[in-house]
Amino acid sequence: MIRIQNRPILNFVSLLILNIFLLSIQIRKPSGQILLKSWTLMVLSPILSATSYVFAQSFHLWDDYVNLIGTHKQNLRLQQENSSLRMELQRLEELDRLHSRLQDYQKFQAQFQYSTRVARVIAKSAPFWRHSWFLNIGSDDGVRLNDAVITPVGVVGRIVNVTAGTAEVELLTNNNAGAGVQVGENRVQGIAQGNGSDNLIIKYISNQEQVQPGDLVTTSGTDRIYPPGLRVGRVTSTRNSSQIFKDISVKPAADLAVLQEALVLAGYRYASPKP
Amino acid sequence: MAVIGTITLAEALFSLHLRFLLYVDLFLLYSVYTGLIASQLSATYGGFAAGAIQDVLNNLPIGINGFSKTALGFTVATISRFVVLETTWLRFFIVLAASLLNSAISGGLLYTLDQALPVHFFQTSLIQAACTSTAALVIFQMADRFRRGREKQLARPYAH
Repeated sequence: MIRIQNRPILNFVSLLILNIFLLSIQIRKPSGQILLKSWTLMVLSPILSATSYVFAQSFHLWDDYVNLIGTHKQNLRLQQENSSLRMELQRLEELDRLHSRLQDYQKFQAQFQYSTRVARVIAKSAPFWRHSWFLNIGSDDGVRLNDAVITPVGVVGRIVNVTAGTAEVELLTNNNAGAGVQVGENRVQGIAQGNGSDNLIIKYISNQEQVQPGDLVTTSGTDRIYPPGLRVGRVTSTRNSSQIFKDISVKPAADLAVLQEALVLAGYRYASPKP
Repeated sequence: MAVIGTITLAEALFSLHLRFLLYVDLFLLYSVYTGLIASQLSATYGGFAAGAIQDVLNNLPIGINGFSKTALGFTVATISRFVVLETTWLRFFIVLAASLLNSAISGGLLYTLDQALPVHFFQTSLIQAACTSTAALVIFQMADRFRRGREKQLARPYAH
């Protein structure tokens, strides 16, 4: 047993500690907390932090490096799930784009007094052979031969073949396809004709007429297929030929290469007047 | 008994309303004198008791002067074990240094514990050191005489 009476230094240190203890239970910090509590927390917090860190690291070590049973399976499952979700995301994005486009079509549709049908392009022929599409609507939906097919941007073509559930569209750019048109402010009448390329040519406009590049080309309605006033495209070049008619080239307003939906003017019946 | 005597003397001196006496730290003189004449243990406990009582009387957190007086008592007692501190002027300087050290320890404690220091703490500490060490010249002489007289009284029964 330590004989305290014979150890003045021990007594001295003990009394100093006693003084500090007495101070710590009387003095409060500005927060109102007594110093003893504050000091105790100050001493304990590194120990608690260290303990917590060691435990956390141990669990981390165990979970991430030791206990990896089933991780491979889980990884595969997550990869599959990730792939599915990516595909689902793409599908939803596509639906969103489709929805936006359909809204545009519906607005455009409301401008016409005659009946229109929104159709989705289900197939496109190789443009080398023929400029035509197949639509997902047919005679059951009221589609008939020679119905005009348009988009909010411009004229596309006409129905040349129809079944109960599908319809074939001959694009205006197809060789020998045509439409009655009017050009520019003067509304000069002519016939737009496809030649198998991406552009149209306009026939039967006299060299005397004033047609400039950039002039707007719209349907005239004289062909009894397309209603008058629909946008066809813009003049890209014009020159007087050696004959009496101009050589005029037109770029179609609708980008036919990328379109995926179209409107069928099912109610427009000038093309087949009743006898 | 000595501590009680110190308290009584301190209160008596304060009641005289002499400005000089207000600066005399009698509890410091008690701690130093105990260190000069008594063992380390007695000086340490004596300093602790004197400091704690001074804190109570001055409405300070108990431990401020208790800490410093404990340290002073032990330090002086330790020094007096190796150096003879009987000379009057040597004691004067010992008290002067002890008073400054006492102010430094208590002020340091208050500062460390985020407590406000008394107004004009440094000037007051210097004046107190001067007054206390001057008072020590007289008080230590009186205490020596009292102590020697008492020692003689205690020695008489064994004279023959």
